[in-house]
Order: sequence, then structure tokens, then C-alpha cells
Amino acid sequence: MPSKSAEGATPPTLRRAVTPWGSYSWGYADVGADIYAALGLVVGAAAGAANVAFAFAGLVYVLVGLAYTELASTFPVAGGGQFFVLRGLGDIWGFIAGWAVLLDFTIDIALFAWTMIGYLSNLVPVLSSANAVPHFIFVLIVVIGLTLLNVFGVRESSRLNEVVGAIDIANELAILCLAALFTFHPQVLIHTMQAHWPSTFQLLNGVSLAIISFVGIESISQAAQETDRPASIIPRTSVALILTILIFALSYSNLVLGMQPWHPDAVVDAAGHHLQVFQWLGLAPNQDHAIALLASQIPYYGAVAAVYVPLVGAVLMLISSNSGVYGASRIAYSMATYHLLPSAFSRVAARFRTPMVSILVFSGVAVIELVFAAIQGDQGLAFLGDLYAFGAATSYSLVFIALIALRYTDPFSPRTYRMPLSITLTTRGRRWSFPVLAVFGFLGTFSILVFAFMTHPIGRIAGPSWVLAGLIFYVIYRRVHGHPALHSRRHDWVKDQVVVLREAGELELMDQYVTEVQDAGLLGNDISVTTLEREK
Amino acid sequence: MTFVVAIHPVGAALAAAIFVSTVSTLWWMLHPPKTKAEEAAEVITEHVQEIVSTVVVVMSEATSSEHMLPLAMRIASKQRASVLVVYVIEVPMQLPVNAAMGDEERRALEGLAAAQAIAKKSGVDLRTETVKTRNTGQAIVSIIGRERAHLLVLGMVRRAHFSGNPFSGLIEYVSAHAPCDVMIGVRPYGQATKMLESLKEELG
Repeated sequence: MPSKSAEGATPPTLRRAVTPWGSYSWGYADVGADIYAALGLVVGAAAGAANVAFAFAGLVYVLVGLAYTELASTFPVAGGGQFFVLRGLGDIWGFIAGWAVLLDFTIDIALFAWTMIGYLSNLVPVLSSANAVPHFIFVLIVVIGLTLLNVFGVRESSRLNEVVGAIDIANELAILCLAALFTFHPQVLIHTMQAHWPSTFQLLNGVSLAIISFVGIESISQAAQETDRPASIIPRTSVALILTILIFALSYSNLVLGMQPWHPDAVVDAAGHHLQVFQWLGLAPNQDHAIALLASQIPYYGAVAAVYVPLVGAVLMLISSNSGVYGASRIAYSMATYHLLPSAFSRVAARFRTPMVSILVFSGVAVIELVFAAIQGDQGLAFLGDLYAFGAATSYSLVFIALIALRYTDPFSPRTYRMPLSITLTTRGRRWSFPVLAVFGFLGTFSILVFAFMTHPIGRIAGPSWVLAGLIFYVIYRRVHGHPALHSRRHDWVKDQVVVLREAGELELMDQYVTEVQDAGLLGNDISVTTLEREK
Repeated sequence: MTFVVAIHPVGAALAAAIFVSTVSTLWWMLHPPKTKAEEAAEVITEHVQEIVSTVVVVMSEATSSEHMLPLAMRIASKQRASVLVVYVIEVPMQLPVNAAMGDEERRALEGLAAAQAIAKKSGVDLRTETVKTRNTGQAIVSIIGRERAHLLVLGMVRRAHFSGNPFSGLIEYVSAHAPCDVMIGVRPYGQATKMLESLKEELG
């Protein structure tokens, strides 16, 4: 334990105890849950081109994942996208990125509480979103319950994340493999794609919704500061997470278009008309428990799956909703540390030893979003999905720009992983490595942002309103506290990076970095790297 | 109405592809390359296994190895090593080497009985031996050579006030001449006697 003496006291630091599986399951608890919410929404919007929508969003997601892998292994600190953008583009852009990520975390809380109740409705029909009042009350109870648990400091252990992650992966593998084995027919897939190809508008809508199946790679970055050997482990866990989620999303979307139902009599709409499986899952009342319904249509296995898949799904949704609560408070803490938000957001309540203000404020935002979603009726889930896509596309777009900027402004930080396809350029006499794929990544995420604007009538108002309200708040806060509103405060990133690498246990990388920055005259030769402290 | 299940080859191939790609991705993730520190730790661990394939614990009037017995047994148990506990009785030149040494032999029996009790508790394969000799140090070195032992364990008790070298001449001799690793545990007098008393109580 660090010394508690007043003079020369060592500041407490996060213990690095997260293993590769822990790091992976931290991300999986967030991203892995997305497909449970997204599948029904995307097949409802993109119909016979749902697989194409997932493929496009998946391609963008791969690029996002590679960018996060490079940045999180280079700057293994808590804060994720918000920190990368702050460091690469400055305070105000860091605020916008962090504020957009905060929107996503608050949506996380509401969206996954909603789908959790949706999955349970498979077993207890009264909880279905078709019964608006009881559904809303139970979702609200989940959100308030999680908020109070987090305020009181009762958190799920990372072991629970790891166990639930393992169970869910086994569960999804069973669903996908057995569905492919017993129900998949390529002719049905081809026929569905030809007969149910959507309009361009529907396809763009589907693409913008499909991105929500891939939101959450941020969580691995959030845990970077607690991961053992982050520079070596994070690239692996990130790439593995990217691949598994991509495999799952592409498999689900192709299966759902090419599968034959085991009990066609059950696959009907409200009027009793027989439907294809994807049409059935895309019906508004079925969207929030689509995977459970899909599993129930697998021969033999479906009878068992109909009972346990909703339970596994509900537990995963609960964990994901909870990750929204503490993810939001972590981001807010990081933003407050860099004076992007008032210090109240980084204050730990004396009684419960938790960031109570952050938890209550952002859970309150989640409740407001939930109310707005409930007002939409059947379209409530789509409303939450719209905002989710907006927040993700905004922050990811900024992360790509920050990655390019950091390659130029901070070429010395050791990058154990780099996005592939870089070209060497010379700008103002400085040679640097330009990441070509980051440009494609930016174009991909920005196009999804444009699609979201074009196709989501509520998202195009609510999303920018959130950013605008945040910016007004930010400018007022910075002016009141004497910080520059439109410019950045002074940061000593070089010393900060030395400490980050030292605390990460990446001593060889630290030595390499120190040598390079000393050669470049950015760090004095007389400075002892063992006594440096991070920016307060 | 239900459909007859007909497995399509493409569906089967797809199922296999999903399973293999997911499992191999996770396997790759869980097996990151080792760091230099981890590789070094592995080499040292292998070396330790080699070191402790045979452990010899020496007890005598000049040493106090009782407090080292549990540690030696624990090491031996973990490494599946065999243990030999030797009680060395030094016979003065005034007596023949096979002379009856009543008190010393009694203490040897008690010490070896304690060793057997600890070994039983640790599940260690233990041999015991009592040796009479003119020179304890030479006898120990000779036993080490005979047994081809890899680790010698000795204990000392540190008296409250001592001056000069805390190790006896015996320890220095053995450390210098034993053809194996030597582990010496020095324990404060008070703690050592306390432990021995409770050990004696346990053994009745």
C-alpha cells in the first residue's frame, strides 16, 4: 500500500490485475450485448439486406477497433476515446468526444435495461413492450436499482463479468453452430435477399442501426489502466474482441435471412400471416428479444434454448446496463480530472466512497432518455438505437482524426501496435507515418453519422441538441473557473507519458521513449524518471 | 406444421467455420508471447525443480534445524522430492566413535520423530538416519556426496546478544564445501524455542 504520510506520500494508483481474459470480457460485457439489441432493429429496417448492413458497419467497426487498439496500447490510461481526442486535438474536441461517449453510456443504461426486460418477457409475457405501463415500470426499476447499487458501492466483481462472458460465448456459439447446421439453406438466403431487398433509405437506416452492434470497444480502453502489460495484452484482446463480435454479427445476419423456422406456425404477425424468420424478428414487439426467438426456432435445441437463452440474455443485458452506469461515471471522472467538467464529477462521496454526483446525474439522464423512449411506444427501442448510433459515430469520427494528429504531433510514444497501411510523409521538415486506413475509418464513421442524420428524424434533433447543450455548459464552466474556453490548457504530455509507461510496467518502452524525447530536447537529461508524477 | 430437418452441406460448413474461427481466435488471445521476465521466471522454476529433487536436512547439537523442517517438507512436497533427515552426533576424541551417547541419542530420536510427524502431515517420503562422527561438518559433506543431494537445509538460532560472526564454524564449513545448494534459516532465539515447545506439546 502507498504510504499515507503527508510528506512524500505516494499517490494511490489503480492496481494492474486485469488478465487477458478479464480485459476481453470487460469489452465483451459491453459489445457482446449489443447484438442482442441490434439484430431485431436491423432486420426490421434493412430486411433482405440486413447482412449487407452488418457487413458495412462491421468493416467500419474493424477500422474503429484497429484505431482503438493502437491508441489504447500507446496510451494505456483510463479515459478511452475522450483522452485520445483531448491529447490529439485539444480540450474542446476532447470534451465533445467525451460528451458523445457519455451519451452512449447513458443510452447503454436505458437500452440494455429495456432489452433485459424484453428478454425476460420471453418467459413472462406480461413484461412485453406491448404492455407499455408494466414494461416501463420494470425497466425503470432496473435503472434505479442499478443506480442505487452503484451509489452504495456494490459492484459486480470482474469475476462475474468473466464468467458471464464465457457462458454467453458458449451460448452464442451453440445457437450459431446449431442454427447453421440444422436450419441454414443458401437458397433461402439468396431468395430472401432478392425478394426482400430494401430501398436505399431503408438500407442506410439499417447501416446506421447496425453500428450499434459494435459499440463498446471503448470499454477495453477504459480498463487499460488496470490491465497487466497493457501495451502487449490490449492489442490481442482488442483484435480478438473485434473478430469474435464480427463473426457473431455476420453469422447472425446471414443465418436469420437464410434459415427455415422449425415451427412455421409460430412465426406469424399479429394478423396471423406466416412470415419469414427475419420478418418475424423485425416486428416491433419482437425486436427487444430477437436472439431468444431465433434460438427457439432451432430444431431440438430450440426447446431448451427457449428457456435458458432469455435468462442468459437478461443477465448479459443487466451487466451491460450496469457497465453504462460505471462507464459514465469513469468518463466523467476522467473529464473532470482534465477540467473538461466541474470537479464535482470527480469527487468521491465521503459516506459511500463512490462518485455519487456522476452516478446520479448520468443515471438521471438515462431515466429521461427512457421516458422519451417510452413515449415513442413501439418505436422506443429504435429511438434509443438512433441516439446510440449518433453518439458512437461522433466520438469514433473524432478518434480517427485524433489518431492521425497524434501520429504527427507525438511520434515518440512507443506504438507496439500500429494500424496497417501507413505511408511515410515529410511535413514541415518532420518525417511521420500517415495512417491511410484511419482516413477510410473516418469516412466510414462519418458516413454512418450522415446516414443517421438522414434517416433518424428524432436522432438528428436529439443528438446534436445533446452536443450543443454540453458545449454551452462547457464554455460557461471554463469561463467561470478561469480556464480558456475555446483553447486548451497547458499539459505536459511528455512527463505524463513517462509515468503512464512506468506505471504500466512497460519499462523497456519507457526507456525507449525517454531516450527519444531526450534526444529531441523535450525532456531534460537530469530528470529522474522514477520520481516523475502525472499531471494533477 | 413442421419442416423435416435436412442438413445442408453449406450449413454444416458454416457451422464448422463459425466454431473453428471463434475458438481459434480466443485461443490466440489467451496465449500472448511471454515477456523476458516471464521467460526468466520459467527457467528459474525449472532450475529449482532440479535443485530440490533430493533434500537433506541436518540436525545436530551445533545446529537448530527444527524450525526449518516444515519449510523443507513444504518445498519437497511441492517438488515431489525425497527428504533425508540426518541427526549428526559428534563424539569427542576421548570416546570411541561408537560409544553410547545417552542424552544426545535421546535428542536425536526426538528430533527425528518430529521430522517424521511433519513429513506425514506434508505427505512427503522421508528417510531418517543417525550418524556418529568426529567432525560434524565433514560428515555432512560426506552424506551430501553419498546421497547426491541437491539441497541441504540447515537452521541456526540467533541468541539475543552475540558478537562476531552469527554463523558457527560448522555453517561456514558446510557452506564452503557442500557440493550442492545450501539453505540456512536463522531464527531469533525466542521464536525458535516457542516453536519447539509447541512442537513438543503436539508430539506429546
